[in-house]
Amino acid sequence: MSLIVVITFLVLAFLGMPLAFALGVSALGGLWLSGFDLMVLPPRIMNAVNSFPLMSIPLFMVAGELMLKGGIMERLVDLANAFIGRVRGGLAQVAIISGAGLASVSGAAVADASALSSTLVPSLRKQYGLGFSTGIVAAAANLGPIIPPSGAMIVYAFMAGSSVSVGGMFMSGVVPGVILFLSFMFLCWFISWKRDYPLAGDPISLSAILRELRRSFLVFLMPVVVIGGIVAGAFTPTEGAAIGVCYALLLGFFVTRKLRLADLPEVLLTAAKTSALVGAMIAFASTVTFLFTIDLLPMHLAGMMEGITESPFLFLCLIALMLLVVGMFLESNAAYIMLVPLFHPIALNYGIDPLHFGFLFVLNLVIGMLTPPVGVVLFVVCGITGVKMGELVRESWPFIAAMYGVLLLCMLFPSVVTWLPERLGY
Amino acid sequence: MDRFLTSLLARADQGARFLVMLGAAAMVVVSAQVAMRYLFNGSFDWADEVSRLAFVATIFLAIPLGIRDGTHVGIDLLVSRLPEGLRVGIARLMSLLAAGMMLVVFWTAIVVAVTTWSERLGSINLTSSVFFLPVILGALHSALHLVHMAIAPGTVAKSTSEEVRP
Repeated sequence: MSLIVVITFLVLAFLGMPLAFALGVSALGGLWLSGFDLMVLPPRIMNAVNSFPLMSIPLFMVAGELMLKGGIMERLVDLANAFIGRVRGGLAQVAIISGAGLASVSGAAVADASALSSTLVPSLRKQYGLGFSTGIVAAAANLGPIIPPSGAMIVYAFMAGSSVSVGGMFMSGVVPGVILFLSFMFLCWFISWKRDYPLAGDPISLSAILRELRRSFLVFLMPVVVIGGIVAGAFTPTEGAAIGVCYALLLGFFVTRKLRLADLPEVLLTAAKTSALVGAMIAFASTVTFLFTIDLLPMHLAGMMEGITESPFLFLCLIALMLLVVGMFLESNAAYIMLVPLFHPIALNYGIDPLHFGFLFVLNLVIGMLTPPVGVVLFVVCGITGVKMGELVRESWPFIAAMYGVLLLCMLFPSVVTWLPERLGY
Repeated sequence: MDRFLTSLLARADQGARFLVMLGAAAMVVVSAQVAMRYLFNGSFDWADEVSRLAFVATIFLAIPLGIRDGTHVGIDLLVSRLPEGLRVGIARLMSLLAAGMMLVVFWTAIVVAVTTWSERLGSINLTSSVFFLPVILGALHSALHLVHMAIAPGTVAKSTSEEVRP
């Protein structure tokens, strides 16, 4: 039965049917062929999204959008400029710092790519040309789902079930996120030095740093309050996200004073529509996974994997290879929704730490967002800046290589991922 | 038929947009829970259920808006290489299949909602079938959009693998 459902899904998906509906049609076919009463369908799809933790996805999205509309980008860029000063590749490093700062309030690579492309590429391209500028922006945007909060990690934790907490997933991304951030900073300097890009920016001044720190203090207080509150157990991720929304509203209306009431409908509608795309996939996939469970597919798959290798490291390598291919062709949310329920239990069988496996899974698919032919971050950057896909991909390779380097590091040394969550009791 | 559907869908879209924005805003009621807990040492019993209902409504009512905008993620690597006539034919067939599935969801959700009408929610004196209302409305609205796309393939938005996502 599972095979028929999978084949139907693949045929429909490759014939261009949106993935959510391809899941729905194949699930419906599976239920019908298995002789199930079709009345199991509505409660299953409704209950799949009737979830308190899942609500944090649109709420974090709204918070991030409100922060952007409230004019935080300008403050982040000014702060980064003050810290970097006059060095080779300085403006590129400013973009990476801004991307990391944005990641700490938004958590969505696509929203970050859109914000960074429209605000930073015009000044970056004067220094480095369009290709490298867009490569920098795409890499900086990809920090979004790795540095907490992260929409991808919320979806992963939801699909993995009770063995993974959202707070634990958030914390697992901190150390690798910092390593990635530093490697991107180094790459910007190294490439600028190799290509002999001119020095840019103003010399470092303590007064400028203090001034910009004061201006950005309230922006950076948001992740401290929200993520800190979640980690400290003061509130759940969903409550934290709702507090983030209230905080962003106060900041936008009363501190930066750039947010207008007229901005709110668009922000709410965008977040709702984007959540619906993920929600539709989760809803219909729930019936597919129900059929898989009835068919004992996860058990068969686990047996097959254990037949191939008993080594946890080799299993991780196989998963990384599979996700490398999947990430090239499948949108990342679809991959979490379809593959996490199958492979997460197998990873537990191998004795792999659930947070370690979860982070590797997310990082693999985040890299997929930067790899053609289906790389959503690439599409967004191309769409906004007008850069040719080939040029962007060529300039993104050093950053993609750095991400694979960090992936390998995390695979070889699990403590890079698990050290911080363990210290915090996850 | 095309004109009737276009006009009907325009009104349905407008209604769905309003409800979806309302639903997304209502989710923020969750923050009131935190305020109550830490400032007043109490809680709103209804906040959890109301916010979940708002979320379910937001998701299911926004699905047809995504269909209209062509933002549901798909794979167009194969179909984009096919001749125009074949591509349109396949798009029509896929829309009809998806519409059929949505109509099954619509009908079965009505039956389930009627069957469970007597069950009440935990914190509000309201039927638990209220959670199925957005599923029913969203499925019907989606089916109409998909039928419209099958009748008039020109309304099929461009492929969605390039879509914007979290």
